[in-house]
Amino acid sequence: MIKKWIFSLSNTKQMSVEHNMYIEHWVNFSNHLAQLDNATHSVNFSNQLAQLDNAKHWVNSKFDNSWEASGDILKSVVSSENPSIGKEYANLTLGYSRTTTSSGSIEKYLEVLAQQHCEPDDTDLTLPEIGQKLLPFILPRKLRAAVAGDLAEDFRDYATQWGRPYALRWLWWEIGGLCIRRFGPSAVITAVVMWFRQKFGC
Amino acid sequence: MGRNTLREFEQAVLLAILRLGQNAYGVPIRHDLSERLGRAISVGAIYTALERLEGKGFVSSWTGGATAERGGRAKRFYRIEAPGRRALDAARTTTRSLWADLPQGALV
Repeated sequence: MIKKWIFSLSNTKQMSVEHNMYIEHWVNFSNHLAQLDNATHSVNFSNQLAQLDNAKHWVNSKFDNSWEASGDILKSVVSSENPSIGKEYANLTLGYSRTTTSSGSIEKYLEVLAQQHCEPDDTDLTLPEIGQKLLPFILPRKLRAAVAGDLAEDFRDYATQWGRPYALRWLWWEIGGLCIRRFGPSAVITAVVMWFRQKFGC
Repeated sequence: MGRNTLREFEQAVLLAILRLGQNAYGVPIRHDLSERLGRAISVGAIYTALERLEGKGFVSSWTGGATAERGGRAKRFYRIEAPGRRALDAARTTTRSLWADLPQGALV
């Protein structure tokens, strides 16, 4: 009984912390939007601001559905006429979703949605660690720094322009090509088959 | 294929190096060629051609400075050498002679 009560108390406390963070997030965002609104004097934007304000009240009154509501609002903001506001909001949402401890499907969906529209942060622009570790094995010593640097430079450009998933696909395609040039197609195919056998036991 | 002759892609790489001048390293060479040839060129293809050209003595390379967006890795710059210029000139002469004396409307 006591155990149950302690669990319920800690759970309530956690929810309360999340709720406060959520409200703080909305207040910051609304203030930010208000400043932008003064600067732009856009009628459409004012309408959207009013909708957001209504949504904020609705979210505060129904905390349980806050993530769904946030997803709907995010979609409406990022598809608005002002892409910079969409990116700003996506950044805020992503920042918020990364601070929460919960990891349900709606939260994941929201994080992915925000990632698609936000300005990438610096960690999204660097080569993945596994790629960096793999490159020394497939590049000749003389060209190692030059090729790895070129890949890092292009990866950064592509991640900024088209997002990290596109940049990652491009990077693995290039690494695959470098492997084939270095070791030959048969060696690469053999390595992939062996990896599959080891991984899935077939 | 003789040691002093150029393949089509090698020719394109040499011309890109000439165009880019002081800024001829992997990334701009790749972008220049992708744009002009109208297809994606892989990093591996560029460096394979550059290695081959360097082996033939057509280009020389040196290591430049490192930048933050490259994760602190140095650039490798390329410069075309006299044998490379001669090979390009010979390739141009050959192409011109191949195109010469075609009958009127031969391509239509």
